[in-house]
Amino acid sequence: MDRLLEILNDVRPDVDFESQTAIIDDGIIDSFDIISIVSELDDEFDISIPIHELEPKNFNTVEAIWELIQKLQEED
Amino acid sequence: MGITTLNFFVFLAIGVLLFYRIPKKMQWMSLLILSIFFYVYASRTMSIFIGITCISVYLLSLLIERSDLRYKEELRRIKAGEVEGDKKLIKKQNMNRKRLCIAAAALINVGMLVVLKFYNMIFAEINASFFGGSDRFFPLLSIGLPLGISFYTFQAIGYLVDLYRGKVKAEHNFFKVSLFITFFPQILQGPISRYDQLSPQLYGEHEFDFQNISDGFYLMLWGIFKKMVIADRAGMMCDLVFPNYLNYSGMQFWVALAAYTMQMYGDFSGGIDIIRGAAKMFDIDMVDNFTRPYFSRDIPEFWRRWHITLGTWFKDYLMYPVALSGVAQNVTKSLRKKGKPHLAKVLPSYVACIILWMANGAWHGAGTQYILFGVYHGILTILSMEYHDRLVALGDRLHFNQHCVTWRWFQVLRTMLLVAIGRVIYITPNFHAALVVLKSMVTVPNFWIFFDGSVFDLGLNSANALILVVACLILFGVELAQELGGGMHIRVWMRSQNVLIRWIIAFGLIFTILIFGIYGKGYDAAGFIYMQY
Repeated sequence: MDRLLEILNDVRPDVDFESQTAIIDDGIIDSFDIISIVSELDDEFDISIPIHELEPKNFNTVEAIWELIQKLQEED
Repeated sequence: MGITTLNFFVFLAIGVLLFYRIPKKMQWMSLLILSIFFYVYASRTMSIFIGITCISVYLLSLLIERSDLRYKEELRRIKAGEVEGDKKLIKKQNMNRKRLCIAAAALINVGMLVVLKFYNMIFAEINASFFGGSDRFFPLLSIGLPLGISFYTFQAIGYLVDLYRGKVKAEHNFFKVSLFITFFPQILQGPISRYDQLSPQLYGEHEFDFQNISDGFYLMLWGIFKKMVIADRAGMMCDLVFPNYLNYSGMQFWVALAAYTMQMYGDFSGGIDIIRGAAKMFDIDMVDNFTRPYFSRDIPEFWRRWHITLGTWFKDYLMYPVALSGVAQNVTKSLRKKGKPHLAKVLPSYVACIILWMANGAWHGAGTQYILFGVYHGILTILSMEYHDRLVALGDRLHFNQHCVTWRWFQVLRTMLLVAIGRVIYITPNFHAALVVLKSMVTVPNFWIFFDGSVFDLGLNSANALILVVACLILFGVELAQELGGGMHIRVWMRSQNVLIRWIIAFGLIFTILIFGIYGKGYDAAGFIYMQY
């Protein structure tokens, strides 16, 4: 989880991700940020986030992103 | 049958009556019959192309589903120990089978779109360059573009890709798939709907509710106002000035460009309002394509608010697959290892962004100026992403107030200007003409046109110019109220008003359209700008 926060803060240092509940729905990050985040997460956690998982429900909170990572790690 | 014609309103009235009179289980069928009638009436033999799209998409959707079922069965048998097998291998085989289906769909449908849109442009150029005449060697097609092909092709491909990604389930009824592709209000100029958003409404049962009829009516009225009072009037100036650009200069281009800015918005967003209003009468909510784009503060924001469904389509089905592809990931890893973290972070996005914008430009038209228009916006988007934070930080260091209302309006005007400059690229006959116009705009200070009355020689006399300005101010006032009110809808606000106020507004709009709308073959012939895409 700490590493996830590090990656998020590295991409967008101006956002306090832990306090956000609608990162996508509120337009806090854009498609460029999503590409950077997914790319880093794939590399860091040795997963491959499918494009159909790039849904607001999977990226609206840090917890949701973490759950997605864990789900994909289990699938692999 | 244009959507501002009397024929369309009679057709719509009959359609709505039929829709609510028949058993609810048959409502989707009535929509399909209406849609087929509408398309065949408008397109005649060209309807064969949309027929090919419906059949190919239906068959390929079943193949994708069958592939998934086969994969699940193979996985179940491996997990149950019935057979030995490699889970990763069968998963990969399934993906390959489904990718083949998507490739076939793209080959057939995007192939038709590309051939019909680009064939003449490419071969006329080759003929002219090598054979001494645009029709000398390779025969040119004389069939034109099927109505709405750029919109329904994207919508159909979107359905298949969503199916491939497991986001939606395959529809087994061919006629229901056909309805999703041919639904008549949207066939002319979008919005490009998603299957999971639109299909439940198309196939569902609907109770008659007068609120839907009145909401749809108000939305259509507003759209017709934008189209006939603003866009078609502004278009009179643009049709005169830009094709004859050698006769005009400096401030005349600024005035015509301002008119074109309003023509584009009135035409496209007005058309979408009419389409959404017509669909609303059938109790179907179509996604909006615009959220007051001229209030955007930078180019990326503008494209999040202008032609939204095309932008999100390109993002989901082109930009993400390119930026997150295996090749892009390998390049990213390699750059990180070489100690270039910033480049690793941004390069896939920027490359995908340029590809997206070139495709977006090509979608808008066959011609190099459309590709250049796309590249222009791609570069602006990248510059904005790259330098936005640094410029904000610089402003902060200089104690420059970037939160005040005047700064916000400066940003809005700056965005409008950048968008307008981009449009010069394709409103003019060719790229050379665009450069001539742009150069003249910054080098010829003929401000006197505003004082000697010659500004009224640009296709709009003083009375028409006044009507256009007042209509634009009304549009601006409504959108400003919506912007400040968090996106509230005027028709929702109207529901809470007394009947007298509602009738005054409705009849005011009707009479405004009747008295100040632009009619006649000369002005009407072009139809909606986005219909030609």
